[in-house]
Amino acid sequence: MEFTAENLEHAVLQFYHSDSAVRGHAHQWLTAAQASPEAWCFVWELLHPSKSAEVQFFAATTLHTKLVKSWHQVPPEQYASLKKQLLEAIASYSIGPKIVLNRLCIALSAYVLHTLPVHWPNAVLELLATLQPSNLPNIPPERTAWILLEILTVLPEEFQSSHLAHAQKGLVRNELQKNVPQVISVLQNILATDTSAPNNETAVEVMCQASCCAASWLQLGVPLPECEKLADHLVASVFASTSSPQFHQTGLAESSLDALTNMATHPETHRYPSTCLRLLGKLLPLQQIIQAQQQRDCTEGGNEELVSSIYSLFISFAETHSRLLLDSLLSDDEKTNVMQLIQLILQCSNSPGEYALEENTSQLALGFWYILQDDIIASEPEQFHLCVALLSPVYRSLAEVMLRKSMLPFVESAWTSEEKELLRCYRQDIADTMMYCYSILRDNLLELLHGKLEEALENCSSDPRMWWRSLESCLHAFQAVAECVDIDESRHLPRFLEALHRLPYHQLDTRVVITALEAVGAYAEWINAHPFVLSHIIPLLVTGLGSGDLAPSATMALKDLTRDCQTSMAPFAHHILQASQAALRGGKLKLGECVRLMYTVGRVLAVLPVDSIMHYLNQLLMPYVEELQYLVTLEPSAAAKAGILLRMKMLSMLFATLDIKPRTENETEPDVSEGSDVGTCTTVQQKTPQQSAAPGNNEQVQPVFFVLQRILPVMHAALDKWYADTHVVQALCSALKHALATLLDDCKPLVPEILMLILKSFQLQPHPAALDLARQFLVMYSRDKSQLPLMESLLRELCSVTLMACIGSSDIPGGGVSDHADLLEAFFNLLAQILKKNPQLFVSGEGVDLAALFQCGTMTLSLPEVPAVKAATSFLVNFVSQSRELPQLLTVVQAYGEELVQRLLQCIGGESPRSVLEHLSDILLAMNKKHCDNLSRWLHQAIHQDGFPSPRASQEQKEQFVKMVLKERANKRKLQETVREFSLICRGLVGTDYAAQSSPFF
Amino acid sequence: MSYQLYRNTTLGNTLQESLDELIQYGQITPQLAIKVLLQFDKSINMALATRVKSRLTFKAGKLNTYRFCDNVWTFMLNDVEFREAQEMAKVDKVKIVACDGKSEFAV
Repeated sequence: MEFTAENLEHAVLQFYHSDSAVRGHAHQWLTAAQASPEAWCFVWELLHPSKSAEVQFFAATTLHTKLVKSWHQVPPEQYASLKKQLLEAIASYSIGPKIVLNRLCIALSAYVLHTLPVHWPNAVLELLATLQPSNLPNIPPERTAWILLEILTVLPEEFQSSHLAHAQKGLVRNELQKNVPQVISVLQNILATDTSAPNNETAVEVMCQASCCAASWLQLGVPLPECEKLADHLVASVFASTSSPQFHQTGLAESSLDALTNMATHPETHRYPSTCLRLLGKLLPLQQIIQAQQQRDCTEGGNEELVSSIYSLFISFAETHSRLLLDSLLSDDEKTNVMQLIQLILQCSNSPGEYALEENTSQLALGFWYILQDDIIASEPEQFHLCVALLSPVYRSLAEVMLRKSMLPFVESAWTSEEKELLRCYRQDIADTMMYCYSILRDNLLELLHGKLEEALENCSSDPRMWWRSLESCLHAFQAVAECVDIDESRHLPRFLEALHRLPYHQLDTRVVITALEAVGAYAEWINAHPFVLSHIIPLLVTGLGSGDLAPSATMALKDLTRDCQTSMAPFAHHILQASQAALRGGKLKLGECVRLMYTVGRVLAVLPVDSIMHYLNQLLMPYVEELQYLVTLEPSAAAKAGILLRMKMLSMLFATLDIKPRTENETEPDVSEGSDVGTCTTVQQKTPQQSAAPGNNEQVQPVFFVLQRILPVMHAALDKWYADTHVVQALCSALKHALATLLDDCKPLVPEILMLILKSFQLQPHPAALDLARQFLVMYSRDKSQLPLMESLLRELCSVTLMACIGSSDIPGGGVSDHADLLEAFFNLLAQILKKNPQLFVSGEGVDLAALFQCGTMTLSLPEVPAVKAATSFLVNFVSQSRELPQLLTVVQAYGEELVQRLLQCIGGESPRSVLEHLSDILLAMNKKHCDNLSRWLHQAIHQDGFPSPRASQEQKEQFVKMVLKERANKRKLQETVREFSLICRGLVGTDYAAQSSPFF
Repeated sequence: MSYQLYRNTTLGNTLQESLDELIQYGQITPQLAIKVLLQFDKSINMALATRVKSRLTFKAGKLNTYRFCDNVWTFMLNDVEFREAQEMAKVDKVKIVACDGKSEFAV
């Protein structure tokens, strides 16, 4: 359909007045019309006053879109006539509809941005001069002012959102900033109108528009000394808007406050410290409005939004100028105003009502308290002491306010989940604020909290239902400062933990006990240095295990304590183990808690004599092993799977923690975390005195060995039924990995059986988890002659099964090899590691098809899965690097290197994402170091193919690339740069802004 | 201008891969691609600043490395446990890159 005014009018009406199918069609057509060059003509026809408002609006929007997106279609000789048309259109819509007028003003501002400064050098000044009542006698004067302000308002906004070229943006910004004084002067004149008696509705509207305009220009950056008068007018406008009923609904207060905020917080304001302080003096009277609103709140309901906006202005000012505030605090002239501001912000933190339910204002100030204490701490010692002395009372009051505001609601069930989440985040923010209070108050805060705790305890003893909230918030505050309190603190914390012993748990709300448990966990490190307090808290922990509601916090706290104070827990071991056994059998624990509790069980058992350990294991663990044994005989079902997974994870946790021979500081411990290997050694961080003092432990067999021996047949049976289930295989492999990390060489007698298990799992269904586990064994035992044959056969089998799985699927369309990307990733990581640590293993035994591995690695380079490509790259780099030392590898590189080079060029030439280029360069570097002659020949042969690797690269560019690659044998970065540059040429990106701006390798 | 550090995320990388492909197949121009990328920076900065309300705590076993360069903090943490009432995740390595959220300037 042709883009005629008539058709367009019809389509616009269809768009607004039809069902969704027709509307969709109309929308598509109208968008095409907007994009067409004809739009430059039809917009003027559609803007005719006789058309409907919808049609006019569409036309105005189209005009703006064209000016923004298709400016290049306008020849410079038509700029002047276009401007004339725009101004005439604005004049003709001066009385509305407002929505069309607004769009036209935005369109004019887009025009200004394109024509400044070359084609319309004095655009802003000309607009100021043209849009005067004397020039437009047919339009009411207020209307003219409104139009001028509307254009001036949208101009900086359009500038901020425009995508002008960098240079043009700078020029336009300069031009706009040049006109700031004139614009500010116009705004001052308008805002100076007698606010007590605005003559009519339009005048009020004009004032609102002036404050919006001020906000817009101030965002652009106006030197602070130039806007002092404007600040006075804006403050007066806020007062006027709250006192005069006709302003209430206009948003004048909000826009004036916005303007003041932009004025006070612009990054350049720090250059004018004394003006900033004068501005503060002008702003402070606004607190009267807050007080008036709060008084009204009690009687007729105040305006919370307005109060929040005023507080936000104060807070923004204080956050931006916190250093200035601290400096001024020490000068007598400014001190009063600064203290007044800080007190106002404290008042904001202390807003009446419950957060999330009744008020949302108190959270505004939380960021400020951090910034202020951060600046205090960063002060020079002398200033620091003075500031602390001056501001301690403020932070003390803040701590008391925080205690009140962080109280939990009496009845949580009335709260929606969103409100509960808000409160949770708020309490976390309060916890952080408590830490800041501690930074300033130190010991005095602990003293304060302790006093409040004792008070709350006393009140609770008479009326726990009324006072539990104060008690809980005290415990929450103690928990919050746990991380900062000195490990040597011995005055307040012993009293605090002793007080926990006196909590009347049974009369209190569960939430108090939960917080108490969390606080105990938070102080685990401190308790390790002061183990005598354990007797106060163990009863609490043990009680917690018995209740479903408390178990999450109790198991977490026990975990923290057994991690940090393992040896000190010995006297309580039996108590804890019996309680754990009861809890595990009681059926109240959830799955995660059962697994977590095994951490405590393992850590506590490890400090007992082996006889006792075995006794407990029989009692505590054997029932689970027997259940597991039964579960694996069942036909697969969701319930059976959940049961198996739970027990496997519990065993896994026990294997990781029940270690009676932990390494001492001088020894090393294997790191079996994800992505690492047993061969990587890290120094043990902590040694517990009792463990290192137990000399007989080295001769003893680790209890984990017996458990593992017992469980291996069960694992075999589990695999028979569950080999295809990723979760079960993962859980099983993870348990074995943890057992190996604990047992190390003690594991040897069981190695053949475990390897059988790994191979069985892998042959039934290749799984990355099995490869990760196999990697630990290969790295750990491949240098051990007694284990060598086993390791050789393991590697051979893993290679043959993986190759079979991946190569078999390479012909499958729509996925194929990509379906095995995670397997290939684990596989090549394993191979790369062995090549690095013990390359002999590849060639010592027979049967590893090195050529097939090399080809598979080459094929993997083309996968879209980056981690797999990375792993294959690492394998190939190591393969090539070792190939001069091992003839078997050399033969393979010579035979299949050409194929690899071809593939590399394809990938660089656009087949692979740019994020892998960095890794691909490493292969080229390795080839150049070890096989430079061959590489040179293969590269030259490859680039002589027409259009290879990309038709975008010319023969000259290809030759230059090869020359650069061959030249670089040491500098990795330089080679990466060469590869990147060539890749950009092949992808048609070279020299574009996009390539320059997107990350080098993403 | 917005921070560009989110380009190096899964979402950012995937977007750049897609843009690269679209340019290679001649479906968009590099000029449009850069606009999309800049819009991505703007939108993700805005979305993360205004729409994310969640909050949780974490504790690292070890602070491996830290540096403050060009107004950007980088922390490498080991053995990190994310918690909120319950454990949520345990991660071996966490890298934190933190920029000044209030700064107007891009890195």
